[in-house]
Amino acid sequence: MGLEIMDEIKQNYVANLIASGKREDGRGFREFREISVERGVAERAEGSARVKIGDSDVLVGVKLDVGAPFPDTPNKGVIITNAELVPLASPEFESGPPREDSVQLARVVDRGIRGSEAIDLERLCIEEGEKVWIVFIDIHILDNGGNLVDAAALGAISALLNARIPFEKWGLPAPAGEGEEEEGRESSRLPIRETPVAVTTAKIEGKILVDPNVNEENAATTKLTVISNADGSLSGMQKSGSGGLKEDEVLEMVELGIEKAGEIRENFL
Amino acid sequence: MNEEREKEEVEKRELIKDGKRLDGRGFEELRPIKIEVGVLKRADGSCYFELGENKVIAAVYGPKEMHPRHAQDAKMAVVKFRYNMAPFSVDDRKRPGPDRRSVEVSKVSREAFEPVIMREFYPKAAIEVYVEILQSDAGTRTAGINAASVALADAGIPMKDLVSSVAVGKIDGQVVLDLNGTEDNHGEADMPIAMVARTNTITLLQMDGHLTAEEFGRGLKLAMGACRQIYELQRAALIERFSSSSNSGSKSEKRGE
Amino acid sequence: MRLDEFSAKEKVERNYERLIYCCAINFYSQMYKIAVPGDLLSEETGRAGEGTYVEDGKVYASRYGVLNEKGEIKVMPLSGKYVPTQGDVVIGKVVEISFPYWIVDIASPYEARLHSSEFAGAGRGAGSNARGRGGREGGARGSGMRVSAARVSGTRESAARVSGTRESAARVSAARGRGAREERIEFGDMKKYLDLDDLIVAKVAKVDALMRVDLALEEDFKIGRGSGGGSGGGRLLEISHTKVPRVIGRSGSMVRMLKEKCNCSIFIAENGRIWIKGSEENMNLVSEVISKIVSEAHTAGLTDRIADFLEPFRGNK
Repeated sequence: MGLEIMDEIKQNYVANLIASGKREDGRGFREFREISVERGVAERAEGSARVKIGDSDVLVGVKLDVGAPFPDTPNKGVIITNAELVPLASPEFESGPPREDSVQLARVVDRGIRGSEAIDLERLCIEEGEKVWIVFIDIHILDNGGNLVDAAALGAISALLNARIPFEKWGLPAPAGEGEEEEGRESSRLPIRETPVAVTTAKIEGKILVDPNVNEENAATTKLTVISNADGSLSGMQKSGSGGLKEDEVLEMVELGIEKAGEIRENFL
Repeated sequence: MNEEREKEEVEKRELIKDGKRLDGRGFEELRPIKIEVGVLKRADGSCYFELGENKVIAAVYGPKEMHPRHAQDAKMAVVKFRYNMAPFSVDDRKRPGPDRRSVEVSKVSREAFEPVIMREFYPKAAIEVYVEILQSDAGTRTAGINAASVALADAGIPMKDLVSSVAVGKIDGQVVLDLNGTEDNHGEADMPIAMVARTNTITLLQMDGHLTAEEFGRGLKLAMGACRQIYELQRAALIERFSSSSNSGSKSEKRGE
Repeated sequence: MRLDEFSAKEKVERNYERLIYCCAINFYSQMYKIAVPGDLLSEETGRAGEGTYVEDGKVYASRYGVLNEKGEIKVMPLSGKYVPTQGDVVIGKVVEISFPYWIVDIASPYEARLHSSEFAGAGRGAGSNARGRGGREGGARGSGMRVSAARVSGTRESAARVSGTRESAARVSAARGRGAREERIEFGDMKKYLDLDDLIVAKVAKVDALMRVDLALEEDFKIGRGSGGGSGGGRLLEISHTKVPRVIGRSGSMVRMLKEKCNCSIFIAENGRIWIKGSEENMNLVSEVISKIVSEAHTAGLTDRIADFLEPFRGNK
């Protein structure tokens, strides 16, 4: 197929460039593409954010529901994260049951939120053992420009920061503590206490570079996604791809991940 | 990471007493391991693997014709990996069939092997790896990868190396090796890795929970050392298999250290 | 011209390697050295052979099998699928008729195909050489590859079940002479020559980069139908192709012993398929012995142990 040949040509081109120390779009190896974050874009959602990193475009919506807690955590709220790689986002996405890429994406983002305990789940308890708030994080990929996981994770935490508990809608009293009233709205913010940020680095031709675009992703044998918190601690990690990493490469990628997460947090969260 | 839905932290439970773990192990001690090679008659290669209370079986079929045709790779074999938990493998019966967790584990497991399998020997063909978890007690994906390595060798698949796998975690603020079920449920972090012992190349790395960068570095070193130990056991099982006069399968019982 | 003569030279060349292997094996005491993928074998990269790979100036094992360090450094696998290479003689089973090809299963991840012109060509060739072959009974020659056709090819009527060896070869050639055609085989006629489930002996003529495998017909190519008995006295056995050298033995010693002691004809193909023919009882014995060889292929002194095992069965009739 023509598409495959084009992909291969692009991959070789990208790989050769990187071997000589350059990137397709002129970026440095430690440089992210341009990032933009827009909050409150989906008004039917309790929280939402649209994140663009280069050509990647992701919309994350947060919806809140009331439901039963899990039996072993009767006093905690529930987080359910889902990702859809909708066909309009890329010639490679098809409709149908979730493919492994979308499952991985959702689970990695979920891991970051959960591991950092970004959401104070105990504050989401309405009635122990009976009713808790269920937080649905839905990731909708609109355009695949590469490195969707970083965009999705940034979208998720931005949407959560933007989200309000619709306790009024459910006829429930305001959650203990936060009773902020903003103009015309009697709801309170979701209790967020950490800001995990995902940073993905790729290894191509033996070189480590951050935020791979689509062509770089295809050329990379290995990627490592590092999710870190404001205090520099880690709340998630995922290696993907068919290659391998040496210990020192992993440590370098982790260090780079924490550093870049700090920059992103400062500028966007 | 051993239940269908992610666990939440339950009431604090003391996991370390008098400097030892609840099952008596030291912080850097593996659970006992048992490896049997060639346990299935129909599969091209197979391995039964126990890691503590985990019981897993891996089977390899192939190389064989790849279906569907359009997914064939003209230059090399396609590796398919399916990790599956039996409904009776856990306390709360797991519904049969793949769930999102199994899909993810299958993907990262396949990616753990792709760097070592010499796929170019079998263009257009498929190599299928099946891992069934018969009994689960945390670390099933690591047990599955260890079993799959041996099964792939048993099937005669050309590989550059064997892959070995183990998890480290953090319990009661302490970084420890090879979490069991209780420790995983009540612990603060869980980090499975897979590695090629010969080259110290990491082919699987995931982390779930919370660790400082320093704890991560320490945990990684600890895990890599344990992988080298496991590699010795895998290799020994494969060699011993042919040291008896018949190769109807071999048993190799080892205690991890 | 008979099968073993036809390719005897090639057989010798091919078996030379096996000879070295078998010799090497017999030098070791009871157990051979087993290699596991990733094992460091040597730093002499110039000697790297089958079952190994070279990286950073060192030779490593890429297969799980028996290590042989005499001459080239090789790892002889004890398991694995058969991948056809040009020149191999295989036993195939027709699984599909797709004009102008028969699609043939050769116990490999790769299917093979036989073009109908191959058939007509083989007929022609054999016809011109049709002559009763007297003389030698033809025990194992070098590799002991001998065919005893259970069915005569070329004509629709099934021939009398022949149990002998020379006789059938002559009949086949003669029949082929009668049936030799100059013109192409037509679409509807293919079944008359080879039908689904027919077993054939063929040579791998060519394997291209896309793994398309083309077969060429051997003399005495059609040997039966289906697997397991009930096909005119012959039986097809399937073993791992990696064990074929052991079943043949050093200069054919193993297979020759089997044929004599069990009074069966035995034809071993590279792809692990073996066609045996004899009385039910004898075929059962051969089958049992081959199983034994296969399960002990990794040990030394096997030929002697098998000889001992067969001692009570001297010349079973």
